Amino acid sequence: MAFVLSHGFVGRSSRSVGLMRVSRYGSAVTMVTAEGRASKFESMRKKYGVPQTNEKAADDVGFSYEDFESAVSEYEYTLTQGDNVHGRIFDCSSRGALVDIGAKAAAWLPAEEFSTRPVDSPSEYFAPDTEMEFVITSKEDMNGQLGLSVRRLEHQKCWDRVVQLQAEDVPVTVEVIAVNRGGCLVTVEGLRGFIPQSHSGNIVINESEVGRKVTAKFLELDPERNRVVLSHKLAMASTQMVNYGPGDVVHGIVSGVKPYGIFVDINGVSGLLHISQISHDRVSDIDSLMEVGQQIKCMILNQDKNKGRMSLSTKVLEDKPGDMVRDPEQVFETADEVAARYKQKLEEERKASAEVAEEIVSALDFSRDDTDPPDES
Amino acid sequence: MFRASRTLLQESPLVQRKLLQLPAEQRLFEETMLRGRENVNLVRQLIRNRVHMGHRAFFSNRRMYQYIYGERNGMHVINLDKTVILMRRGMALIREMVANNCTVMWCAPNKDEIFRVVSPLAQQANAYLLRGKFVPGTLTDPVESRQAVRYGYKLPGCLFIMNTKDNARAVHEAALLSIPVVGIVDTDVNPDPVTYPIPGNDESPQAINLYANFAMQAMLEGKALRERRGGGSAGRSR
Repeated sequence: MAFVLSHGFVGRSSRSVGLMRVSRYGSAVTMVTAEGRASKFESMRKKYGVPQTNEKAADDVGFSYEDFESAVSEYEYTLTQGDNVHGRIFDCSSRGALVDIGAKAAAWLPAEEFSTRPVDSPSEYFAPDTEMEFVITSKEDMNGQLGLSVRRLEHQKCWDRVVQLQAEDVPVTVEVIAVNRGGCLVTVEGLRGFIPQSHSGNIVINESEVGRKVTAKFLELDPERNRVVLSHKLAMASTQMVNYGPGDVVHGIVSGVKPYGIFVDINGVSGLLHISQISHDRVSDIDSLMEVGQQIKCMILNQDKNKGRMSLSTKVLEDKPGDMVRDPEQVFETADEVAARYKQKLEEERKASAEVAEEIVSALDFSRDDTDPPDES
Repeated sequence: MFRASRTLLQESPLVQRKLLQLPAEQRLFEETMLRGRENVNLVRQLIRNRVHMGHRAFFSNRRMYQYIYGERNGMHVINLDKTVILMRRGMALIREMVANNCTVMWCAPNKDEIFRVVSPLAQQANAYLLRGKFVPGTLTDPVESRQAVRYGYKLPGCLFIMNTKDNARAVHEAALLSIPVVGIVDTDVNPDPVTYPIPGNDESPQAINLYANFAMQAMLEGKALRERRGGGSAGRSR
């Protein structure tokens, strides 16, 4: 069927042409309405006569309906909710932007979906004709318009990055945005996170902390529920615990008193001074001995860097057994000397045991070893 | 809701024959026939700007079936064969209106982003572009509605409407006053009340940009024609 102007003037009657269904699997065209029946207009046309048109003249235009179909199919699209599409921004306004994604109607990108970070002036955020990736958020509405989002794509990328950072166990810098009873809310890599109070370390939970940047490590991630839990204590532990090792005498402030021991805060890292490690004498009532906020010196027995915990002891700092109970102040004064002596003693013991071990090993008789090759005799 | 009882009927063969006998229409028909290859470029341009895309098949108006080519992926495809003819016809009307010292009133979608594109084109063409709602009574009762200032205190020679579905009221009022309307009708719009319907997409900003460009070109050509025919000494339009 020749294309342009072959069937005369303004629109032949609808009944004769009918609605042709174009199959999506090929260029097969099937007529939907019956063709043989002469419509009312056809009969009227025959009766009154319509000037004959030139069918031949339009043949040499060189554009048939098949060409039309193939040109149309170039612009065909199947876009549904959840697809990632490539689009071009047509224009921006304060409420959002129109994006050309190849569909009938330009898709709508609301101002809230421009980015994960808050946007100051939406009408200038994108330059016209920028090409970007979008994700389709809603189905077609009545006018055929789709809703888009860039924020969701960025959100997904932020989550991927955060998961990777957790796998590498790297401390990150986060900014405190709000404080509540359970801890503080922070922003990390474009996402919202939370540092519980137990992991806050030396961040004081009050309004003055808002806006402060701290380092933290990832504790728990739940992408489905959009939960990110961080720990400041762990980050501090990994950076600060390298300063001390087992056997060091350190200053600390008592942060909590429990029946089984005392929690001591040493430069942001907390350690446990067990009741059995306070003194050689039996300590019956800790409350009388120490109180929260008191400064003490203690020796580090061992450290657990991963969990940010330390085991402390003041027993070894005692000159004479029972000193801690009687006179803690004196113990603290002489703590360094006692600790040095203790260390020296430990060192000597270690050397001695190493020598003994070596003697034993060298004295072993290897002559009757089974692995020796038998004598050739 | 706004059924205009005395509008011009398009498809009656009697009217068609009468139309064809008018010298202007005959001339236009031959003119369009002669431009065979140009029309092909025009069709490709229309496809590129997504003019052929109609709404979902469910939403189509029965009276638009004459202009629909078929269905693809659930969306109706407009027959650009007819669009080309009707587009030339509509633009020729606008051109003649301007050449005869009449004003043309434009109605465009109110959405900020699209309006920003149409506004400079209307200004360049010296057309009156209506911003915002078409107040009922703008044309029929300009005194009471106080809207005459928006179109220069002179009833327009014709209306050019790019979103006919939303401006049904404007179409109706123009029909009551015998003002011809050149309107872009999408597949879900009733084309009967529109004098010169142009089937095409009214959702895509590229398509609307294209229509506005065509109308602007037509108006500029009309202005040149007017000057050529002997200057608008009696009653300059703008």
